Amino acid sequence: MAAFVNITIDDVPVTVPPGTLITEAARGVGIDIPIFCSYRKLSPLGACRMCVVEVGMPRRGKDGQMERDARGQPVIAMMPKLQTACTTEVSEGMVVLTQTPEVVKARRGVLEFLLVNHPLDCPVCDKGGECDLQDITYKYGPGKSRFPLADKRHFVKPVDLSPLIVLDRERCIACQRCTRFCSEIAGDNVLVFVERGAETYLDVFPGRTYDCKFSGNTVDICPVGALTSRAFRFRARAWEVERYNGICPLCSCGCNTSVQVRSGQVVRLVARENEAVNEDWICDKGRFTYDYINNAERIRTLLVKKGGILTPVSWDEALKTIATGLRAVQATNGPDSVGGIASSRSTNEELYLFQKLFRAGLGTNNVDHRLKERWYEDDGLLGLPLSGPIQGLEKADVILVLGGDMVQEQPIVFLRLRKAVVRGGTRLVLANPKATELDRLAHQWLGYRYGSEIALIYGLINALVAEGLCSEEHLRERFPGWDSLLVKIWEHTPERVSRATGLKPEVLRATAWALAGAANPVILFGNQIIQQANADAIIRTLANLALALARPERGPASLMALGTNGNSQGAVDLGVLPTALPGRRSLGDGEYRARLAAHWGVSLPDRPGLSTQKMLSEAGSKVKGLYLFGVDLLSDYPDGAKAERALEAVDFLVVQDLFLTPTAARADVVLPGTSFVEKEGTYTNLEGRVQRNARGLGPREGIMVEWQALSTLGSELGGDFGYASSRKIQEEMALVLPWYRGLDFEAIGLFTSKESGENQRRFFPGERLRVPVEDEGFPFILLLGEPFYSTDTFSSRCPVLGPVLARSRIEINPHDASALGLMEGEAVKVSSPAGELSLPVRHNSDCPPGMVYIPWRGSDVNANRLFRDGMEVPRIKISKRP
Amino acid sequence: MGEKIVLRYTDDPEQSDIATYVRKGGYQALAKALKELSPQAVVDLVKRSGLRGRGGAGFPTGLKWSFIPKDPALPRYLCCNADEGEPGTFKDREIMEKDPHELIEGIILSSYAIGAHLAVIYIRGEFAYAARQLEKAIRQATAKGYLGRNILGSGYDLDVAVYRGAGAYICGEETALLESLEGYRGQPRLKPPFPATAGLYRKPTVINNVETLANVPYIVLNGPEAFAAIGTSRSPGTKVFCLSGHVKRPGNYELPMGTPLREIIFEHGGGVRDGKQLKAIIPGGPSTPTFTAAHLDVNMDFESVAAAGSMLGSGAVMVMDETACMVWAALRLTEFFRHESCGKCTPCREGTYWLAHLLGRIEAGQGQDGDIELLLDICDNMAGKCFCPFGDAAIAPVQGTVKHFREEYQHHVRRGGCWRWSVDRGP
Repeated sequence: MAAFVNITIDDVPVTVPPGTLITEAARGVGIDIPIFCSYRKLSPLGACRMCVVEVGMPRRGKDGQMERDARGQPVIAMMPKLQTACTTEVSEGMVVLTQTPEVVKARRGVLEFLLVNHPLDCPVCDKGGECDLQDITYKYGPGKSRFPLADKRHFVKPVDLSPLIVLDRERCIACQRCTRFCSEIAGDNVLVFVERGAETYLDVFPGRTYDCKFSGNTVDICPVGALTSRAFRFRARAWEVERYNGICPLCSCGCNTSVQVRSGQVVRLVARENEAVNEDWICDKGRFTYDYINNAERIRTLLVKKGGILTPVSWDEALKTIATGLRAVQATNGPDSVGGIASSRSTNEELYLFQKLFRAGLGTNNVDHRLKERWYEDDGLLGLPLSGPIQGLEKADVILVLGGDMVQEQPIVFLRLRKAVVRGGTRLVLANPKATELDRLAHQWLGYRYGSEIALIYGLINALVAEGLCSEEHLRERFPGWDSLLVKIWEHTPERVSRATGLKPEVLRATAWALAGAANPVILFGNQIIQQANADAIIRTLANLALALARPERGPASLMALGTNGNSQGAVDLGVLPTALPGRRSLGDGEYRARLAAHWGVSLPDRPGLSTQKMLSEAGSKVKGLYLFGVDLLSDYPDGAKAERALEAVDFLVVQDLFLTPTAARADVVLPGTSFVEKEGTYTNLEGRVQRNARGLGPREGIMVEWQALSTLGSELGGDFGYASSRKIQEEMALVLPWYRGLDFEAIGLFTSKESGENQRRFFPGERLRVPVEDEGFPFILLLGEPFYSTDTFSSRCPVLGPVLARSRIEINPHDASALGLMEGEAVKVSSPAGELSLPVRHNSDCPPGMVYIPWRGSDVNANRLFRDGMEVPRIKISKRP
Repeated sequence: MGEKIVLRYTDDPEQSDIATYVRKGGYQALAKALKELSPQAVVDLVKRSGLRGRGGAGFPTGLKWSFIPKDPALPRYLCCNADEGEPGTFKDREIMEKDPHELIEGIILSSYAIGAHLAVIYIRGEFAYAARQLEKAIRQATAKGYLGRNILGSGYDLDVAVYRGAGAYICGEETALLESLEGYRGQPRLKPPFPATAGLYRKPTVINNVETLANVPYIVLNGPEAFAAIGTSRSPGTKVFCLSGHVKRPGNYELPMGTPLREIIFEHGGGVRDGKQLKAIIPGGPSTPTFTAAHLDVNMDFESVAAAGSMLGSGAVMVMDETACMVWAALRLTEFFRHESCGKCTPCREGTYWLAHLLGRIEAGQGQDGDIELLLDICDNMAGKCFCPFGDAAIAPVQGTVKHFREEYQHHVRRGGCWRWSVDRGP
């Protein structure tokens, strides 16, 4: 087949690859062909008939040669009927006419038909001003309809499809974009058309509810105002809003959004196209979590505790209080008696400044960003990228997902994974302790016992070796440590590990064969790994598996972390860790530390700092002063009781946050925080892609955004923090940090440079296998997870999300429930060695027998009362309430 | 009356039983084909017979079969289109109710020819009796070894399933039929790919009408020449004409292709009832443009009807006498199309709605100046711009009646009502 096809559209020659549709070819040369049903991410439909054009083909003789006229031009035979440009693929010599009288009349005809039953309510329609039907009618339509206004068909309206989406059936033009989105992209098939002809209307499939996590995208792609967002309805007109390019800070996917602002209020977020990251889609959580920005309860003043009461003060006084407070603590207890914990939803600039404040300003490495995460306990993983391009999933032929509920935690990456599996034929191997929504896509499913991950991976490596599926010569030659790993794994045959993992040996063997047969394998791991007590050991073992899959013709399997928060990756890269310096370098790297010290013009402490976990353990003894940067410790730290004790114990507490959270209420100094819309900055997503977020709103008068506050504070502490703008911070980062070296922050979406070459990869030494402790007193393994609509500082302050926030509950296998006599919905007492909670029961066969699931933060109960630091695999017991 | 093929034995009340069918020579064609003929030879026989599809479009059947990819590894299916929904058409129903084995044998032969091991009869949901007759016939044929594994010891396997539709005219359109069969909403699919390459479950599929398939045993048994000797050279064979309306003897008449309309109506149908004058004829079902008494000498074969400006369609000849109001008739037919439009494409969904609305207004005497032109303009905006042939079918009654009976429309508009109200309040 030819690589290119030559056609002419309205006498303009166009050269495009074969298979291109006429609409795409025309768009490429700026010829407008109006469309409604066609959408480039959806399969061609040809239903609305708006895009009809005249198409001609060169006439060919019996010998297959083009016939030519006297002037040598090909003789064109025009097709008798108009053709839909959105479904017709180009072919060599094709002639397309888009402006002939027939086409013009057909367009007017179709528009008049569309307006037969479409209400004339543009003045009150949310879509007005950005409505395809409105725009195209202005451009191509008749000015007047010959259909009597009074005879339009009517439907009851509006209809709530869900708490988030509202439907106006009269406006619907049955283009099927939304239903195709549901079936082709999201894969939930919830939206369907019912009835026939002009009575056709959109509805939710009988017996289902529209609880899709991507429903807002149907509003974006609706060409009319049929589908509208509950949150945006009647709040602004399209032409009144200012649009800014934002980056969603919620999860580490880093979706590109358009932040739309009217009169100083964020009125909506919509998806902004980025083929490499989120394509055209964002999830509903990202889309509808914005009203907190407009919330009237935002902290607007600086507060200093005076006589036990938080009292408004000036910036000057607040920052001076902090500087003197921290210095005073250090003066009596030493430099390491203060520590800082920053939110991993902060921007790169903030995170960089935050750790610099502690290292260069206060001379301590007590700085961290981790709350529930348990990885990067030491510096062993710093050299491993743990990231890869999202688009790469489409090229993978086998994907292994271990310990992550992707649909809940990484919804947009899930869409890409789904695309790879459904359209690309990628094989999906899922290994999860609990069944998830992703399971129905999986080719193989490994329901292992929570806590047995290392045994599982050892079993896999053992099977790879035993079945002769490793390129052993290559591994031995190329990567040091193979032989010592062999010694470690040889006894962990699939048979032996099956007791720990609960998996049949043949399941592990089949998985080993699937992975070994892949030309381009990708391994993803999620929160159930990252939040486990021995996360580092599991990740090192996974890295060994990825390396064991290496072949001479290609490198090891890609290993990607489905990290937790919007900028978890940035926080690690920028050294908001007690044992790592910015730039993913170990604190122990003396030469690097010296270079950094020279850049910053100070001497840097070489004593390893304390992790969040240790800072809280040592609170009151070693640690007396804490700076919590956007962190609601009491709500988000997994060991709630410990957080409580720590806040009691410290002498001096600074909290910077948007709201007076339970944690902020305890502080000695409270600084107002700002949302991502109010500041410029960059975020690094799970791919290692640095993306720019533009400022859409000025912060309220008299409020410094975080980087300004941190700079001022740094200067107050006597360091070199004279940054005039966030650009200056970016310049310094690009200069100082090897991973960000030379990065042009003006350019959006560039990758951090990966300087860890595959050559330096080596096998990690083997890990100790933990024997799961059976505890008769606490018979159930407890799996804690982040539901999609989890409650947090932001989501709890968005009224529209109220009805959809995940309810607190304990999910239990129906067999276990009936053995205990627990009814659905019954409130039970759940107790662990750490504490107890009352939760309603939900029967769910997704949970294997012996394991229960509780969301970390449901709508009303925080499960961090059940967890205690040091628990490897938490266990609970359930008792009926008297 | 010449030789009959598909309705030859339908007057025998025992014909639906396999014993009677076999006694009269049934399943001999199958035995002959499985013993003597290769699948390709069956295709060639049908090609040489010149058999054309009886569902309406008249596509050469053998040619359609030959589009199926030759690769035997690829699964392929035969679908029998028994969704007889065209108003005034009742030929397939008679075949299925009275001589179901004839259809089953035709299906087995055709499946053998294209190499299918599963055939599905998509039958109109309302045809409950016909569906039961077919299911009984399938059970009997399976018990006798004409269906199932290793048919008649030939090594050829075939299963036939009956699937009842849920009541949508559009599911008679072959790709909508496939969608419905797969469990989706019955709406036409984009073509290409055509069913011959990607049909049922995206596998190569042949879709044939009941009457078409019922002709196949005759062709195999008697040879293509015997079949081609009937009818005209380009439209060979017989055709079942479903005669209905204001005639003395309505019913199914199997006649050679090319029989003149006059013969069908006056000789076989006994002429117009009550001595009234013939006014209009719909020659091939409501989707075909209307004829008048001036067209009585048109020969009913694919070419002649097309040359006269209409289509042979399904062969539903609907006769209207002088008492019929053409505006009312057009409204009645347009209401049918409005009700049955699947709603997928804009011109059909909204156009049929608008046409029905406008015709209703004219018929009720509420028409305005310019309404007739508006009717024609709406038709023009639909013509050739709809997703499937339904749209073109839906405008045929309007265009045909306006063309031949414009004065009746004008009367409705100018005089504020039907001419029958003032001149003749008759039936």
